[in-house]
Amino acid sequence: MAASPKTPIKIIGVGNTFRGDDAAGLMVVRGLPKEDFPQVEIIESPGTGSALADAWQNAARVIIIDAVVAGGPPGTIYRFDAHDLGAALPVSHSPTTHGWGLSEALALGKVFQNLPPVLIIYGIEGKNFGLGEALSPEVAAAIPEVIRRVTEEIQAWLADELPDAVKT
Amino acid sequence: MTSKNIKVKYLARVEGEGALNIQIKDDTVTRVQLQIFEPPRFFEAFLRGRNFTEAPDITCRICGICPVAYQMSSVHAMERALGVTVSGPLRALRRLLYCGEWIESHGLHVFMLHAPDFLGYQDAIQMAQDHPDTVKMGLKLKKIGNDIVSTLGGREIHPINVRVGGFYKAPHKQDLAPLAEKLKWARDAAVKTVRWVGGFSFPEFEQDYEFVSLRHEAEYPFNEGRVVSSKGLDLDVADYEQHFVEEHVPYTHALHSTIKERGPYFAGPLARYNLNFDRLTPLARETAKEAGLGPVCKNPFKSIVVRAVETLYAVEEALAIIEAYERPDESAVKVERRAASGCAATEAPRGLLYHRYRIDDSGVIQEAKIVPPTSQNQGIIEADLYHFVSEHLDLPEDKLTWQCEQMVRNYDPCISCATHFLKLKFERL
Repeated sequence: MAASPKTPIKIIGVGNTFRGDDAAGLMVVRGLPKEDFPQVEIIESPGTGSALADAWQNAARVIIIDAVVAGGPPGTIYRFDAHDLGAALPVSHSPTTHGWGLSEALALGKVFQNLPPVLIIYGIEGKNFGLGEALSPEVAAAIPEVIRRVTEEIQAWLADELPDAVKT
Repeated sequence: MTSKNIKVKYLARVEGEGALNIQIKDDTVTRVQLQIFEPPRFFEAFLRGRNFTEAPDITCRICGICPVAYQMSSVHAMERALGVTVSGPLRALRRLLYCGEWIESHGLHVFMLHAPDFLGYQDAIQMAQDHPDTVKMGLKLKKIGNDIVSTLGGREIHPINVRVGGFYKAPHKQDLAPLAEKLKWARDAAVKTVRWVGGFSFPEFEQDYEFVSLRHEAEYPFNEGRVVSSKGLDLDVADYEQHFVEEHVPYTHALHSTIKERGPYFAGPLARYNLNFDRLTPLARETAKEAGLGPVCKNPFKSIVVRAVETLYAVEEALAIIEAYERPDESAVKVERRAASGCAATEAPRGLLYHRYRIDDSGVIQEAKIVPPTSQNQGIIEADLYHFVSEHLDLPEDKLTWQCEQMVRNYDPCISCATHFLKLKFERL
């Protein structure tokens, strides 16, 4: 699918800097070499479902980076294609509005069929989520690797788009 | 002897942060414990040593759903401490910002969280499959609230344009014009929402609550007013701590807030509505009546209807503010630092939010106290669960658990604002 020429690629870091490893997604997007790809929109998001859905609206290719708890060793890096996720992400039944997050936004996007055509999720297994805690060493160590891999994906996408850009 | 526990553990991600534990022995409810983790306690400590001007930008991080409330209570408390009054268009802009927050917060809760309970869906995702147009209307309505916040606040989630004394940059009238167009659609959508939720079936449940909210001489309350109750309290907010106390309870991080020598009380939309029905717009009052609400509603399950009515009010109020707005010459009132103490309360979507600060002569915060609405409602939530479960012990356990969760949702509690991957797990002992 052809990318919109204005903001075809969005990179969304999700998290909260007051909650230890929850900040991982934010740390990744802050570490991206933005000057190398000024045409890519970089977004920091607290991860509420509707904020995410708004953030990825009108984008052709999106990468979301978020801390996860999936049961692996802290610092483990996961990569998912959101279109391939069956019921892999459990939908929250939290009684609060705060439970309306990424998994809910993905599920609703599938119901309404309005997810971005390409939607990749990087997860970093977290350990410490306490208020005011620092990043755990394992997560801190994983961040440069995620930055490297996300940067590679962006550059591959941009190279992929180049012929179209030349034509226009 | 038979005994059972209903355990709802809803913050699987961060163990021990939040849980609901109801113990039943021999057909008697023996214990109801709602465990809540409260980020504000951390922020009270974090604020000490910071400059008074930083309070709105720090406290807004407490909650991704109601950052405006934290900003508003903090700036009003600082302004009361420093003898500053914000009036005219700057005051109106603050109300407009609050309208945005109520629309987005209530929109999310009504459509995505609470409506599925009433219609028998496990969640909004399931509901969206059968009611796509309604869910889309709800999301669009909610988004208009976010648009107000991002237009005035500089961004949607943690607005950066609010300061002690006013704003960093007041918008031009033409900046607000696109919002007015959307709000005209939102007015119709909000009326439809009230009618829709008014048609749900509600469990029969009423208690003799003491409702507490702000009350203003002319307005439905956002930023200002006296602290009043349905059982006769009528105070300046400066006297709040003489009448309201916070108590430690052993099983939760959260403090329980009570009225001295009286006990728990009820804050939030239902309290505001019951104490300020006459301050709603004629359309909001009329639509509430059509939906079956009288001027006083004591059934907490009907809070979903009240949230819809407040959404309609906020839409109309936002439109009125935008129509009357003229950009002020200055975006903020001058504020001079000095040693001072001050407190304020504003009406967060979930209810009264009280802040108190003490700052030294160089403007450094020495003490901060934050009493969030969920801490105030915790006692009432537990009391409701106790009475409700006691009356419905004959229900099958899955249905009872469902209705307990629905009951907790009546209060839209702010259980943990800070992480995003929350999950719910059921545990039966």
